[in-house]
Amino acid sequence: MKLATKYNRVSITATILVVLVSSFCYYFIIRYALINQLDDDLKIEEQEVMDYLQVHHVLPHPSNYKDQQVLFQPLNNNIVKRQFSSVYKYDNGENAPVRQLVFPVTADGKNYEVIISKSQQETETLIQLVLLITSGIVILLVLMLLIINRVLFKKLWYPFNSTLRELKQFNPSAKNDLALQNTSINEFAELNQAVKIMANRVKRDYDALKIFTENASHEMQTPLAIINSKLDILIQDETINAHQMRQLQVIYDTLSKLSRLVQSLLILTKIENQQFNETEDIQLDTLIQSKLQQFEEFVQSKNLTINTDINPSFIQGNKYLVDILFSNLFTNAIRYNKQNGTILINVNSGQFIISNSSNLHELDQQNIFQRFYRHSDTKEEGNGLGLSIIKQICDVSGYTVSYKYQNGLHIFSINFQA
Amino acid sequence: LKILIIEDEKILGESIATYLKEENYTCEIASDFNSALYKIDEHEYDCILLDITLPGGNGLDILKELKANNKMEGVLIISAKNSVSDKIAGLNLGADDYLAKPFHLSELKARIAALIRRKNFEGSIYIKFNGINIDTQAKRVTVNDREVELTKKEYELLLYFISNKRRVISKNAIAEHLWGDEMPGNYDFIYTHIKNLRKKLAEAGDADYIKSIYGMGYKFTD
Repeated sequence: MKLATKYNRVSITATILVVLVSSFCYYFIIRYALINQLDDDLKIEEQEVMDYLQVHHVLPHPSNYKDQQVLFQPLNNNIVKRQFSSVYKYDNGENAPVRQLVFPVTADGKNYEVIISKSQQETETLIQLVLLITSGIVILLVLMLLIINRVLFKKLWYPFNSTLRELKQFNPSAKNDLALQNTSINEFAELNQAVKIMANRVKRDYDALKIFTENASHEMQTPLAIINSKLDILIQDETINAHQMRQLQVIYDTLSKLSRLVQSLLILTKIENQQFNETEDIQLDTLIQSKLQQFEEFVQSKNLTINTDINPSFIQGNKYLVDILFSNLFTNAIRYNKQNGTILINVNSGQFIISNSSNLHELDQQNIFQRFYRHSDTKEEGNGLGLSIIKQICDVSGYTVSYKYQNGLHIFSINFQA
Repeated sequence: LKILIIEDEKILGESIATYLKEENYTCEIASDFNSALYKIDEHEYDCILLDITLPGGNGLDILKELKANNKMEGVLIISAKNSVSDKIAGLNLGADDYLAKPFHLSELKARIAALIRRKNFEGSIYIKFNGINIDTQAKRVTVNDREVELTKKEYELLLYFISNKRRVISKNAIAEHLWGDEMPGNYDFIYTHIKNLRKKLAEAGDADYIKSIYGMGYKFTD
C-alpha cells in the first residue's frame, strides 16, 4: 500500500469520526439552546397570564395566533403538574411539532390548566438548515483534505521518488554520477547523501574489481606465453615417448582452455571499460555468410543441417564487437548442438534469430547471462563466459538479446533497434 | 637473417631464440628499453620482435625511433595486452604485424617468415622445399614443376608446415592457425586436411614429408 493511501485512510477516517461525533454534539446543543429559547418565551407568556390573573382575577381570553396559542381548560378533580413538553399537533391537515407548557391556575375558585403552545416548526427548520450547512462543510473539508494530501504528497515525495528512479537505473559501470535532486527537506537530503556515498563506494569497488580483473588477466598472459613456448620446445625432443606425448597433449589442451578463459575475461572488462566506442555500418548478411564459412568444418563434423533465411540488412555497431558477438552465437549453436542436429538462422531488418537443437533442456532464464553460468548437464568445454560476452556486447551496442526454448530448440534473438 | 627479440621476460625471450635458432636465423635479446634502443642504433636487423610493455619505456617509442631513423626492419609486436588500440597504434607507427600473448612458437615463426618475405622483395616470394615450390604472391604450388591444386586451408597448412619445417607442431597450434581462437568443438578434422594435402603432394610425385608424432602433432621433414 502506498504511504499516501495509508495516511489518507487514517486521516480521513479520523476526520469523519471527529466530524460525526461533533455533528451529533452540535445537533443536540443547538436543539437544546433553541428549545430553551422557546421555553423562555413560554415562561414569559406564563408570567403574563399570571400577571393578568393577579390584576384582574379572571382568566384572560384564550388567544390563537399563528405560532402561539393559549388555552384554558377547566380541571375537574385532576391534578396537573407544571411541565414542558414537545408534542405533535394536528393542524391544517398535517402534524406539526409544537412546544408546550402546561400549568395549573386557580381563578374564581376554579382550577384550570393553562396550555401555552408555540410552534416548534421554525426551530426544526433552523436545526435542519444548520445541519445541512454543517454536513456541506464536512464534505467540502474531506474533499479538500483528499486533494491537498494528494497534491502535497506528490510534491513532498517528489525528491524521494526521483532518488528512487535514479537508484533503479543505477549502473556501477556507467561513467556519470547519480543525478540526485536537491531538496530542502532534511530527511530526503540525508537520504540522498547516504545514497550518494553508497553509490560512490559501489562504483569504486566495481572499478577496483574491473581494474583487478584486467590487470590479473594481463599478468597471466606472459606466464601463459612462457608455458606455451616451453611446451612448443619440449615436444621437439625426439626422446619423448608416446605416453609422455599424451600427457603433454593434456597440458596443451588445458593451457589453451586457460588462455581462452583469460582472453574472454579481458574482452569482458574491455567492453565494460567502453574501449570499443567507434561504430560503423556493418552488412549483417555478408558477415553471417562469412561466419558460416568460418565454422563450416565444425558444422560438417557434427553433421548439422543449417537452414537460413538471410535478407540483406545493415546494422550499426563496432566491427570488432559485432564479430565477437556472432562468433559466440555461432560457437554456442554448434558446440551445444547434437549430432545430426539443426541450426536455423533468420536475418531480417533489425533482427537476427539463431535457433539450435541440443541434448540440453531449457536454460535457466534467470541466470543464462551470468558469468560462469553453465547448464547443469553440460559436458562441453565452453568457459561459461560466452553468453555474458554476448549480453555485454548487446548492452553497450544498444541491442537487446533474448532467449526462449520452443519445440526443443534453443532460440536466441538479437534485436538491433533500441 | 638477424632477429632482435625485445622482450623483458627473459625466459620467453630465450624460448623464442631457441626455437628460431636454426638454419640462418641468428637471434639477439634485449630485455629493457635502453638496451633495445642501443641495439637498434648499433646494428641492422631483418626482423624485430617487440614487446610493448618494457622496463624503462614503452615499446611504441622504439617504433617511433625506428621510423625516425628510417630503419627498414620488419617489426612484429608481441604484446600481453591484446588491445585493439595498441594494435592500431603499433601498425600506424609502422609495425608489420601484431601477435597477442600467449602464442605458439610455430605461429610466431610463420608470422616472421611471412614478414621477411614481404620485406625482402628480391625473389623471396618463392618458397622452396625439395621438390615443392610455392609462389606466395600468386598462391600457386608446384611439385616437381607440376602444378598442384590446393584448397585454401591446405595451402595455409603447407605454408605453415614449411615455415616450421623439421619442427614438431602441435595440433592445437595448427588448429589455432587455421581457425583462430573460436573453435566450437573438437578439431579432429585437421586429420582430413592433412590426409588430403599428403595425397595431393604424393600424386604430384613428391615424397611424404608429413610425419605424425604420436597423435600429438605433426612434423614436416625430409
